[in-house]
Amino acid sequence: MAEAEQTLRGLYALRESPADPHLGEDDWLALASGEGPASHRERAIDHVVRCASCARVYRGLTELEEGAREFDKRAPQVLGPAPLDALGTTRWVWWGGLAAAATLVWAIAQPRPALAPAPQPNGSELRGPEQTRPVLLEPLGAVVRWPERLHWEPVAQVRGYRVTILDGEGNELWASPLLAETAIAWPAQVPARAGRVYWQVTAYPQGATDADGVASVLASFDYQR
Amino acid sequence: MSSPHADAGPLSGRETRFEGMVRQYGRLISTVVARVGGQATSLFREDIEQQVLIELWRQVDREQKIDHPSSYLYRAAVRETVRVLKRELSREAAAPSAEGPGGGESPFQSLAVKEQAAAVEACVAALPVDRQRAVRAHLAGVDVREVMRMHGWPYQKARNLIARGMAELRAALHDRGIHG
Ligand SMILES: [Zn+2]
Repeated sequence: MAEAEQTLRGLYALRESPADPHLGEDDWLALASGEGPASHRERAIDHVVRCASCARVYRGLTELEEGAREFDKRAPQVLGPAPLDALGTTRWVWWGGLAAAATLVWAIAQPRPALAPAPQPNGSELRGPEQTRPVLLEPLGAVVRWPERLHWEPVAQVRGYRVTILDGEGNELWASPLLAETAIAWPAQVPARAGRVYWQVTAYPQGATDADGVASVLASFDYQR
Repeated sequence: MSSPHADAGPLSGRETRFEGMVRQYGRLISTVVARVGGQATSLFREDIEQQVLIELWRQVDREQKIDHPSSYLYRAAVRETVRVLKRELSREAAAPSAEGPGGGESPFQSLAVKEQAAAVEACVAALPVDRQRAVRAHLAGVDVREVMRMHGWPYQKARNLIARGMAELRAALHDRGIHG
């Protein structure tokens, strides 16, 4: 199977370049800063996954973002693997939102308060700004006691929520049934473990199908025994 | 190198830190370009770092006032990374390759491979839009966590779309006599 997959990937890599033009500097800037309308982002990503050359630039910007965070805690978190995003910050940090805190920019980076509400997305959402994503409340950040419950803010006009708990590799440890409440006792199926655990809540709007859930950020907490 | 004409308030007395960050970006960009841009690029890493530094300072010097140095520098770094990577990638594409595509194969073999590649592309293009997105990312070597972030999908959705899309792709290729 793995070999067949390699063959498929090899064949896919030989495809012709897409007819639409490569991304320009401004497209890259918007993509790397999490700015611009969702439709632009979508179009850019659609090109990137079809174009070998742009895929390499994308890879480069992912590495730039990751490297920049080591010396600039305010570097965006908009590319790269989702679990690196933690502590309830949005996936697509909006520079406009950071402008308000500009005078602090050069201060030594302070850890973000774990319970700070996530900044409002600026339309970078793929699903458009009209659908609100759930904001996770607890557990977040470093915890000294294994959590007793998971808690998030309500979202208007939803028929329910589903909670997923993942390990540090992104493997699903547990998923809830559809829930009406905005809190749930910690599932006994996931026993206490030292280290980082990720969780996410997906809200299902009334009248929408299961495929149209709106997911929260992938939040995490770190438990030290 | 001159200092940035940065906003006197938040930056006064902190120019060293700004300069330090420009240098860190210079190093980071050259590392990224060396890793992503291929082997030839890594030979010129120091030159690239030097060019990147000069260009970053040029961008800084053009500004009268920098209100948000962190975001400003990050943007400058993104622009510079894109420029240098594009340059290196087009240089790589122009360089005569020792072993062309399908090197060592007979014309018939390379034609067969081309046809198969075209079939893969046609079958991928026929998938429903989200499955197609998931499959393209997967075939391009993007892992599931990156797919989640690229498209704003929750984990299960990303994983299911990849799994179902790949199954559908294999079935479609099978119908065309390609077993992958
Ligand atoms: Zn391209």
